[in-house]
Amino acid sequence: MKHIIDVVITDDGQIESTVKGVAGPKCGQLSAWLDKLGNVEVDEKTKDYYKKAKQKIRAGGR
Amino acid sequence: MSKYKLIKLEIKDKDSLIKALGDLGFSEGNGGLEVANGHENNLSLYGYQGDRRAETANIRIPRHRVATAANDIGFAFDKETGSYRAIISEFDSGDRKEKRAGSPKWQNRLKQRVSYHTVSKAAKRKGYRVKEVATKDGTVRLQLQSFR
Repeated sequence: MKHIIDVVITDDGQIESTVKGVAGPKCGQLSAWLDKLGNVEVDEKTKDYYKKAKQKIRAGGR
Repeated sequence: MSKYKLIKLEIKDKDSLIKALGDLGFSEGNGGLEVANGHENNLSLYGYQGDRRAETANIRIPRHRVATAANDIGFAFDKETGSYRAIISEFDSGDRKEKRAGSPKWQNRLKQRVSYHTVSKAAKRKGYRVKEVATKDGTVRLQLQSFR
C-alpha cells in the first residue's frame, strides 16, 4: 500500500511520526515497526483515521 | 494524515550509536573512539587524574578527547534492557557549554543523531525510501516513502 510516514526527530531525539496517504485502522499497522525503537509516549488518531479506507468519488456525470 | 505517534528512543542499536558519535566528531581511529567487541562492558573508564573508575563500558571516549581536565565518557550495555546507557561524570554533564562533550546539549544532540540513524536503518530494512527534508528549527525531518 503506497504511503508516506513523516518523521520529525526533535532536538532531544524524540521521534514524532505521522502516516500519510492511508485512512482507517491500517495506518496504525503501517507504523507499528516504529514502536519497537523505544517507548511510545503518545499515540493519537487524527480525523482521517475515521474515514473509510476507500471512497468512491463520482466526477461529472448526471 | 491519520495517525500520530511520539516515541522516546531507547539506544539499542550499537551501529547507530557509533555512527552518531562519529557525527559529533568521535569516530573510531583518529576520532579516538574505542569500541569493545559484542556487548561486553570490558573497557575501563578513567577519571581526569588518570584514576581508574569502578564503571566499565562497551564504548569509550577517552578523556583527552573530551576536553582538558575531563573524565572518560562511556556507554555501557545493559543486558536486562538490551539498551545502552551513557556514563558521564557529574562534572562533565554539568557543563553548560554547548559544544563540550557530555554537556546536556551534547547529550540531546547525540540522542537526535542516534534516532536519525536508528530510524533510517530500520526504514530501509522495511523497504522504505528515506528522504531527508531540510529544516531550520533544529529538528531533523525524514520522509519514509513506500511504493508497495
